[in-house]
Amino acid sequence: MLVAPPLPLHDCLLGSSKETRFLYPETGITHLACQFSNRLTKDANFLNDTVTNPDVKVNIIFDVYSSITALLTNGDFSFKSKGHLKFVIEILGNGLIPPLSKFSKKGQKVHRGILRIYEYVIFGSVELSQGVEKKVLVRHDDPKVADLLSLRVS
Amino acid sequence: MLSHMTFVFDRKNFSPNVGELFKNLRDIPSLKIVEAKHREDIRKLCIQVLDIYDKFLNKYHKYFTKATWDFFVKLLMGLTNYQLEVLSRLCPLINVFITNSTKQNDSVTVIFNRLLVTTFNAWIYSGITDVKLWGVFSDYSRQWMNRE
Repeated sequence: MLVAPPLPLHDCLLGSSKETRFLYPETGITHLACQFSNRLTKDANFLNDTVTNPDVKVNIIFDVYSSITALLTNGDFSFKSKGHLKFVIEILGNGLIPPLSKFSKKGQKVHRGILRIYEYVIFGSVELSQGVEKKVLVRHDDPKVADLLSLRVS
Repeated sequence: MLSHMTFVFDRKNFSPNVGELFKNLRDIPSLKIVEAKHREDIRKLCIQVLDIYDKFLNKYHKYFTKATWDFFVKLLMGLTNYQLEVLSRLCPLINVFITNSTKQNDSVTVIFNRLLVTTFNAWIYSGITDVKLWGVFSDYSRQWMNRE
């Protein structure tokens, strides 16, 4: 048995292993990767289900992004539970849905920031920019988080 | 998260952010600058996503289950096909954009090249023996090669 390193959100990364219709659709129409990812995430899409105003949605995403980035920079960030992690990822995922220009008033850094947060979750560390040239390496070594995110592969 | 990241490759992001109006005003110098900046921003985002995919593959591939390989390879294959086949054939406006960009050897070409490298790399690493998947990959990749 191999013991894998922490591999966060493994079930989310897998998506639904039964989902193959994007390659072999019953309709004969090939689904696209973007539609595929839409279907993967729509089941638990809190933000789209509850918030319909696009401006409010953008504000929520921006607030979550700003809060997490600030916490990461201060080294204070950890997820309370796997549910919390999924919730945050889901909110941030909405920030990548096109057109990205809807964030133009909030600054272009949002999308790169979201990808950096994803990188942090997937790999356990990420380099964040502070100022023009300074970069800070942020790691998560909270044992609770590591337990939540670890995976055994048989 | 990996699937969320495919959103940045959506064709809407490759369109200029001032929409239809832009088509009639694209000769205005300030709008040209806006277009160039927009394109550069999207290019950086796409490259950042591909970097993450590459890093994910290199770091964790030893621990992938069959289901993970299936998901990852399908995701990359779908994304590559979306960019190289569907994007160029079904959307005339984008097609013009891509053709012009390719001639100028600019950002879009860089993304296409990186995408192909990432996809083929994952395919080779995966060691997939599934006949159906190979069939789909074969059909798809032929279309990518024939793109003008």
